[in-house]
Amino acid sequence: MAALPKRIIKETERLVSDPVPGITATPLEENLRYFEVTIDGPSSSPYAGGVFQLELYLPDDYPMCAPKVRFLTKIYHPNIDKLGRICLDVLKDNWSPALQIRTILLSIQALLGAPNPDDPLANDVAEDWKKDEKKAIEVAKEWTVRFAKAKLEE
Amino acid sequence: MSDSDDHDEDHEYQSFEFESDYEDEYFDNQSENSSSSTRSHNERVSPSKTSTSFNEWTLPKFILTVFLDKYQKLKDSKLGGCTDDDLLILLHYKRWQADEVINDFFDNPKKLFEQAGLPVPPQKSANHLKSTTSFDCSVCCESYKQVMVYELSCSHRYCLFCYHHYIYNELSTGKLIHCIQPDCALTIPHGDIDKIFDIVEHDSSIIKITKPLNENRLLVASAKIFVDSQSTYKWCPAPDCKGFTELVSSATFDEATLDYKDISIIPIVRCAESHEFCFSCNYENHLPCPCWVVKKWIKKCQDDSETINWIDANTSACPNCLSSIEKNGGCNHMTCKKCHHEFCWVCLGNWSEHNNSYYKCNKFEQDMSEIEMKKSKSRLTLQRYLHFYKRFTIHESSMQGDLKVLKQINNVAVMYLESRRKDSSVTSLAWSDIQFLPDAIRALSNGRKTLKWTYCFAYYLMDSNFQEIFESNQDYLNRTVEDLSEIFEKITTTSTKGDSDIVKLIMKNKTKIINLSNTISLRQKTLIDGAYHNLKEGLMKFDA
Repeated sequence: MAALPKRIIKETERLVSDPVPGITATPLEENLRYFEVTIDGPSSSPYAGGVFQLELYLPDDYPMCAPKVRFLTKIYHPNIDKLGRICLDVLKDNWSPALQIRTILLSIQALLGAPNPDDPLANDVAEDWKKDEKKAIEVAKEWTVRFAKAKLEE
Repeated sequence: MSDSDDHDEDHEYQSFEFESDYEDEYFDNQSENSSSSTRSHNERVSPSKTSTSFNEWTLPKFILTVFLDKYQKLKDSKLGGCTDDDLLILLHYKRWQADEVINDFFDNPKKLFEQAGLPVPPQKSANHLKSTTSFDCSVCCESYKQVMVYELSCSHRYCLFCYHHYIYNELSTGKLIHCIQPDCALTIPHGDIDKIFDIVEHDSSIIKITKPLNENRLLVASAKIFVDSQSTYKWCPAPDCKGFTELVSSATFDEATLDYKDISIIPIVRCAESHEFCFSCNYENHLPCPCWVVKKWIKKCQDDSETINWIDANTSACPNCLSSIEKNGGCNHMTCKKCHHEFCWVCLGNWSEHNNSYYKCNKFEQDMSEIEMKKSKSRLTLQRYLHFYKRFTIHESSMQGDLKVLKQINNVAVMYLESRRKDSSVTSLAWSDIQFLPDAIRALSNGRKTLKWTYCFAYYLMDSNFQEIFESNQDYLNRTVEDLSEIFEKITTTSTKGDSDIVKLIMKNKTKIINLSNTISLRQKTLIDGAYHNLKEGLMKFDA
């Protein structure tokens, strides 16, 4: 494997020395391009109190192309599908090499606080969300308790 | 034309008539020659009813006519305060709709500039591409003592390596490329993109030779995307060919309603490099075959051919269960692993019937039992396929040989001209004197292409009297093609011996070459027209 680019080393250092509140990102020792991530659900959202696990991978072309991020914890959200894939502009067309791991993770956290059922990835969830938002939020809360809190208590 | 020339010509005609058996064609040729002596031999051969018209394009030509023509017009109209770079960006942003640019400009210039990523007037673009010292690039995080950097008027500055890599990735979208900074919408001018590439890829900051605008990397990428997205444009399928073709008479070409069973509507077009191809299936010129037959044939060939060829050449089928068996050693007493049938490898007869008289395989009067019939039938089907497939591929590989000859023939042509120049009796000399050689090669190659596809055609054709006519047309074409091919074979093998020999050979054969290539084009046309007519009248049918 080629040597790790300076950019990745610097970002990793900063993630450890100056962590973002509510977000952790730890690289694997055997693969420094692979990060284990946790994001706390935003307090004013149905995901409050949950801790969501994600995986993040920096492709060879990083930072010229976006990191690959996926939810590992089950989540009920119109922009996140069954496999944990995320529909977020900055992860696709709007990626810029000036963005960073930390900014991406912050964007994902913000997405939890502001679901966008008009640009859905999980169609069934988005439909429920649009039909009856109150009920959908209840389900999201329930899932948070079942999947994102249970792990915490274990 | 002088008298002596005339005489020469006559003589050649006679020898031509004498050497080959084209008497019937001879008179046709004469009349044909008189009218078509100036006509090129590689004229498109297609059913006369086809009404497709098309434009041949190359990317630089396309960019010049479709993109930059508008740019020129807009430059002339002098939109207040716009630089050339600005205009190009505005046009690109508006997808080369000059009217929209003008309308929006007079409507709300501020909004238009903002949308296209230009500094809003009266602020001017201030892009810098310069060398700087002790710079930390925030994208690659490298600290440079000295490095080239690029910035737009927003002053977001990054090292040139990062910009190069970034632009390289962005080019694939064919859209305008903005500053790296995510919330900054300023657009990088087209010219700067080429400059950045030249500097980084040539590892030098003093490159002065810039590409012409119609070869600009972003414009090329954008044109490619445009061509890809339009159904009236198609890339030439020939290997390494960068040409593409636009189908103009779209009234007769409606993809959705077309029935490609009718050979009359096969849109055979040509690219800027004279490659002919079918606009509908994006395959080479496959006349006389309709597209659907071509599709079927190609699929069949892909499925079977290689494997079957190998199996046919290297194995025998067990006479009992028809499993393919490869003999990799040992004696001729075979026992099938599958059905345990014992047989002789040489005659494929029952081993027991050999009665220990080893390898005397002269028993041939086996009664044709039902199984035998079935076996021979399946073998016959296979052999029929292989018969056509073999001829199809032979012509395909010969065509590649022709291409090589075409390359060689250019040297030969120069040689020929040189020696003619030295000859004092020749007063005028022009490149057109030798043009018949490449023309003939092209005629040969095109003839072969048609011939190749006749085997696919014949494979699916149902038996009828008209099929026999088709086959005799095919045979005629085949003979002419082989005759011309032989002459070229001689020329190219002689070309290693010496200049004078080859020039003599070409002189001797000039009329013959011209006549043969005319005959090829003529017979090709006859064959295709005939096939078209008979298919249309229902006299010939495909066995699908």
